Amino acid sequence: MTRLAADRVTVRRGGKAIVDAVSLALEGGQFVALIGPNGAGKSTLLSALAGLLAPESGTVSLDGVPLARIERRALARSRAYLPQGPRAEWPVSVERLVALGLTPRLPAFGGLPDAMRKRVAEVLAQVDLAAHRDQPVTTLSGGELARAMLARALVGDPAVLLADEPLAGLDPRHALGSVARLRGLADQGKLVVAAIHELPLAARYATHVAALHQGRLVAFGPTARTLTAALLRSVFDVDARVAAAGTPAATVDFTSPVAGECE
Amino acid sequence: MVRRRGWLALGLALLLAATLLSLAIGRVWLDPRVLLASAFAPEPSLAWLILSEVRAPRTVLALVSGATLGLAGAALQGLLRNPLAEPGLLGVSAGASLGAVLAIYFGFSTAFALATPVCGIAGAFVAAAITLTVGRGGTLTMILAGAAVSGVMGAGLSLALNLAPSPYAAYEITTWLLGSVADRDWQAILLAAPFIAVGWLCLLLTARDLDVLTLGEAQAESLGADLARTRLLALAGTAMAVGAATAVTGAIGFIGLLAPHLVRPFVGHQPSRVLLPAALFGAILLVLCDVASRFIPTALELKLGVLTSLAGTPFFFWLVLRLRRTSP
Repeated sequence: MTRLAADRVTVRRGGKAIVDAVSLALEGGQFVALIGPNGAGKSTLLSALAGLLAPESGTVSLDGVPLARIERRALARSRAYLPQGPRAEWPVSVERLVALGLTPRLPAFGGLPDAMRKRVAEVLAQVDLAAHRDQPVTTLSGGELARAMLARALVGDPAVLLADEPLAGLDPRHALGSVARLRGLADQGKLVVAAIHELPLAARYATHVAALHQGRLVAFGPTARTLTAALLRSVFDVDARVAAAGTPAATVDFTSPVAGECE
Repeated sequence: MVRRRGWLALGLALLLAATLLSLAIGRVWLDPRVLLASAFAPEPSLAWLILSEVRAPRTVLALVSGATLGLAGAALQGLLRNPLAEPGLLGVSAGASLGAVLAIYFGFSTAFALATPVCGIAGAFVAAAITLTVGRGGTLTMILAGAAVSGVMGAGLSLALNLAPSPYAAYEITTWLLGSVADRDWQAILLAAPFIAVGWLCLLLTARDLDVLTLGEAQAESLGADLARTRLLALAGTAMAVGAATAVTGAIGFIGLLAPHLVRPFVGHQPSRVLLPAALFGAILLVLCDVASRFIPTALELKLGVLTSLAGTPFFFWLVLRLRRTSP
């Protein structure tokens, strides 16, 4: 079982602690929704968990080994990272873009082996982009590009997926499809950590919720116990009704932005 | 795949044709039969000497520097993900020019024939070292450091022209700055060759990381790319290859910018696949420009650098128009 652990991770920028002494122990089989208001430190924490950002203090370790001691390509094979609002810099084809996710597995020279080509086609079909295979990625819509990037992250079959707002910009059908796919990965025993603002989707599909507020981890646990109206109120400053969190029937309704003004 | 092979075959055919043209065309017509006969004769004929000592080095130099500019342009455009990147961007060309000009200015070049290329290569290394030390740590800082280094080196060039000891020295400096592959001897080319070869190797080693950079820096790093290493390879490769080539030819613009753009649509825009075709088309373009410079009837022979700039500018306009059409 994959284990990803953060031990008192602190990241400072300009003297301010963006991520403040966060300790987290995650393992395969969990789909962790990382929630928190803008500027809470979600993206920074995800970068640190991905090993792309060396924390000021504290360590992140994968299966007990500090990330700094894992060879780049080995780390790239076991964890995938998807930043917020990823962009493609050149008008390569959708197929080519997704195939870039296999880079850490490619032989030193030569093109894409046939087995990998098949894997790319499979993942493209999963995100509903098979028909766009040869289209230049720069001509995709925002939501289509987001799905192509998700396919890029999934194509290498990583044990750990860290995704920063993978649902942003998706229409309801594809948002549901994507979040269900993330949950499916967790059910297969993989670890998925995703920053998510779509709280109703988090309430339904995430197995665990981690809440950040001003760089500190204020709550972490199974969705049913953690995602409560009290938490949303203290983290987001909104009143909400939360029902059946952690089940497919979960609902999150926001009732008012400032405590006690409505109703 | 078949289409790709077709383009490659076309490119190679063009390269061969351009090379033959460059060897055949000049002030005098060389009869192939005379050449063939003298190739096996103990005493070289005049025709053979013209071919081996004048046209062959000129052609080889045009091929090699054209390929270098195309390759470096493709690598830098891939690294910086900027279609306007070109080898001169990092201050290397200006450094090589300043080194060579100082050799002319202080009269080293009259005392010792190889002084110009040697000082040119030294200048390129100094410029690259400054760019690398100051601009370490990021792509944007590297571009800015390169611009600053270019500025300093350009100021040095102006200063040398300003203080030139005699009108003749000033004339010699300006002529050198215009860029040309004419009248260079084998010695200068052989001096530059090892640096160019190592530079090519460094640039080609960036290929895979250039591909993942299509996804931006964060995803590229998450896929195992070592961007600090890639930046170092691209800069060192450009410094060595373009620096050494510029030290022999003088500044030649636009080839490094143009060649990658010409081939990009034919290789599916994948940065690693742009590298070698860009080198191929850089070589073709520069040889053809050099041939054209001999054709065009002017009192003084047109300098190659002037011609590439003249021919390159319309392309720039085309690039702007295309960007205006495709960007929202």
